[in-house]
Amino acid sequence: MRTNVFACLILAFVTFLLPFSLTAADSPLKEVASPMIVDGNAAADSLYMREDYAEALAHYQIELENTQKPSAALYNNMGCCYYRLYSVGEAVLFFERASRLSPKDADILHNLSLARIKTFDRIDTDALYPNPLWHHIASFLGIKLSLTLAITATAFLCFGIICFFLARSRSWRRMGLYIAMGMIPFIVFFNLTTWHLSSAYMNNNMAIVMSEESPVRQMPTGNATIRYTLHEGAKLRITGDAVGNWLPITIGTGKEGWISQGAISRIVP
Amino acid sequence: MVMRRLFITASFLLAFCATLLGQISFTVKHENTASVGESFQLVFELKGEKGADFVGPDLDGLERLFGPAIDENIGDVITSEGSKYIQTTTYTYTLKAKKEGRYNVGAATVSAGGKKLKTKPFTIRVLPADKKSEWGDQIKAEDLYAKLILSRSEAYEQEAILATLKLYASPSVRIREIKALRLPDFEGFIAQEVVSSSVKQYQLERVGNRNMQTVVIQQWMLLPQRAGSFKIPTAAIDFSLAVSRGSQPTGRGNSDDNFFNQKGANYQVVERTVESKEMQVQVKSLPEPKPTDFRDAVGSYTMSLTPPSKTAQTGEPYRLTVTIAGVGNIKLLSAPTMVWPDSFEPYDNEEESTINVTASEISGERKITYLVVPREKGDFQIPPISFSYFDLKSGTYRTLKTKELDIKVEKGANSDLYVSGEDRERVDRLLAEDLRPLLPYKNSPTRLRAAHFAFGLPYILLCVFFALATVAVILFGLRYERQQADVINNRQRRAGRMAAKRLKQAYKLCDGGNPHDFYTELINAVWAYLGDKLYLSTSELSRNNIAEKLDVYGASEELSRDVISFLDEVEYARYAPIATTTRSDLYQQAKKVIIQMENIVKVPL
Repeated sequence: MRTNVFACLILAFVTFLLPFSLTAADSPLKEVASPMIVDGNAAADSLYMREDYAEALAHYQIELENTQKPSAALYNNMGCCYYRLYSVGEAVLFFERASRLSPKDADILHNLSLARIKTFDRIDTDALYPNPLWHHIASFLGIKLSLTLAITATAFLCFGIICFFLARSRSWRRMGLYIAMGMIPFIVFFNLTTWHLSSAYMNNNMAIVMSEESPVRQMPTGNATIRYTLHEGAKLRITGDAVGNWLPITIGTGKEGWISQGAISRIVP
Repeated sequence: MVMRRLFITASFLLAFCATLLGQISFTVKHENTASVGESFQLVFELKGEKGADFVGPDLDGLERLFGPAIDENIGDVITSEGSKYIQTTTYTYTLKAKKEGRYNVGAATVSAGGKKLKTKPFTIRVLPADKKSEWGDQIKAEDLYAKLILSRSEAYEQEAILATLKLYASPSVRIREIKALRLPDFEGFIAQEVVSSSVKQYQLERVGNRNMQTVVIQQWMLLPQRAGSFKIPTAAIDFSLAVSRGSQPTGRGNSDDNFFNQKGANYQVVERTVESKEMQVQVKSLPEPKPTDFRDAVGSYTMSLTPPSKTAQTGEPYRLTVTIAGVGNIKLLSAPTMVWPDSFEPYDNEEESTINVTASEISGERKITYLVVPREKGDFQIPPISFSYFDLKSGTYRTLKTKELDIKVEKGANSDLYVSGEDRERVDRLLAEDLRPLLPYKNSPTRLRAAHFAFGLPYILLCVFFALATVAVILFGLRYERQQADVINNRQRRAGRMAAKRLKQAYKLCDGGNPHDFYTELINAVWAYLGDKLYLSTSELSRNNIAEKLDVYGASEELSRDVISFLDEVEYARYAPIATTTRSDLYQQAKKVIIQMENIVKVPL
């Protein structure tokens, strides 16, 4: 009887520990920029400090070409240069790129919203997703938290099942059953938010308008009627494959159209 | 043996060399002889350590042209133990002797590595000069000088002052090349260089009672930035010049010919440095009271408004261009403040200026384009733009104003695309905070790890592991439980049979035999039975525990009492000298207790 309770406790402990041991095991994978790159960027940083933004940007661009995997910091700092040089479109694009790699970084988010102020179009960025509310909830949680909660809920489910089968006392068994049943909606919910965020990251088909002004047309031809006009820095979603030089886009339900490929830059380079 | 000794000596030598390299040395390199008028160098070299407090030598009348020029470098020295870095500092003097003779140059000192180091004093013999070198000495101060000429020594803030750096040379001096220009630092001013399209030309100018060759080296328009008294430091010009043979540096009539018709063989190249005098400028502050919209514009200006469009569309940028043109500090003009209606969202102004700096004035224009995006439709009135400047001619402030503007904002094609109600306060807060500092690169993510992990192979494996672990734990737990139950059951089931066996053994001793053996056998049988039946280990077997357990197992109080009293009785009989109860009685009692227990005590689950 006593040993049984003990076994249950150990089990609970192990299942609780799992998500943490997982993140710990993942940490050696953390990719750190090589020291060479850090040195090269230091020169650019000091140029930026001296307000020589064009020269700093040129340095960063060399770094960007030389790195296989640019870091969020590099994108952010390039965005800062563009912002200072009044290139709103590029500034938004690079802050978006930085934010994609590090979505919960407060500095990057601040810079991004600052750059967005300088754009003419006030578009609801959540509306770019098919289900804006769902995107809003998921991005509020963030992928790290979603994933951790999904795994923790799974661990609780296992714990509940084990309790149900092994506990001696009836109250414990009942508790185990409730825990297991209660975890199922959580597991579904957090896995769905994780799924949404990870696919939004993996298949990112957002783009930023680079040209000062670009018409969005009804049809993929140059003389089709203009539905609306987007300005530099506006964010949009590409919904399909290009037809000639034209890409189908949307900035929210009912706001679809075709835009010239040359006028935009994808967030995923 | 010899070899060994040689080896030792060699290693000592090596060690010595190594210490030598590690040591600090301070030496002087010099020429033993020089000639009058010829420049030569003294080089003091400090090796092995950084030096401080260098004190130059006594030059004993030698003219110092330049120095000490300090040059620090770290060199790679290869020794037997590999390469090594050595710090070297050189202090170089460029000297010239004016007269022949012997010059005793004193010691130079420097402190390095916690010690004061000295060089050896030495002597330089200066030989009479070649005939040629005398020529350079013929140039006197009044034959060659530079001047920084200011158009005025007193000015208002922001009032342009023309500064001209001019070189004067007597006709006998022919300037070959300007080698270096050390320009003053115009502290307290904004200097705008006057760009002259023409090539620098020598001009003849009458200075006092002499004709001088003059050339303008550089010109600036200086804009004083604050009131006060300012010093403009000296400017220095290094150049090489040609001095004609036998020329008399006096203002002769034919000097013009003399200057330009030199033949190569008739002149010698001499290097010289001239410095302009320090200048003083008095800057007056602008009179008070200043108009409220005054933004440091000084000069004379006109303002014009590019005829704007009378209509605007919501969500579309609307531009309004104002041009301020005139003479004055155009570069520093700031855009006049605009007051837009609340529903007009202002963006950064586009500003562009064209400036023309000449020796007489700074003129040009500044085009300011205001950029707004109207967010609501309706009719709006834009208040006039006003611009104030300080007019230097009249010494008063003047204000320019544009007309009021009426703008009709129509609904744009884009208007339904926008999120309404941009939080103005939040925008202002963000703009006030500006960009955050640059991010450090260390540990900055290059990918979103969680997204790569989610639904990838490791994630699926983790879920499978969870499932397998749960099943395994449950199976293990159930099996363990069953085993445990088996152990208890077996003991309890077998307890009666075991007790019967042992009682039979005791029964054999009932008649005759050692009574002590009988009691021992009897009591052991009962204890063992109780242990098995009540699932108690040997250490737990006590009267209290038994009573407790019997209670748990649901035995009657009577039975419990019987068991305890039986145990007491046997113990008593075992040690009592005279038996009060017969052995067979006790045996019967034991049998009775066990049978009773067998009937009542059921294996609990």
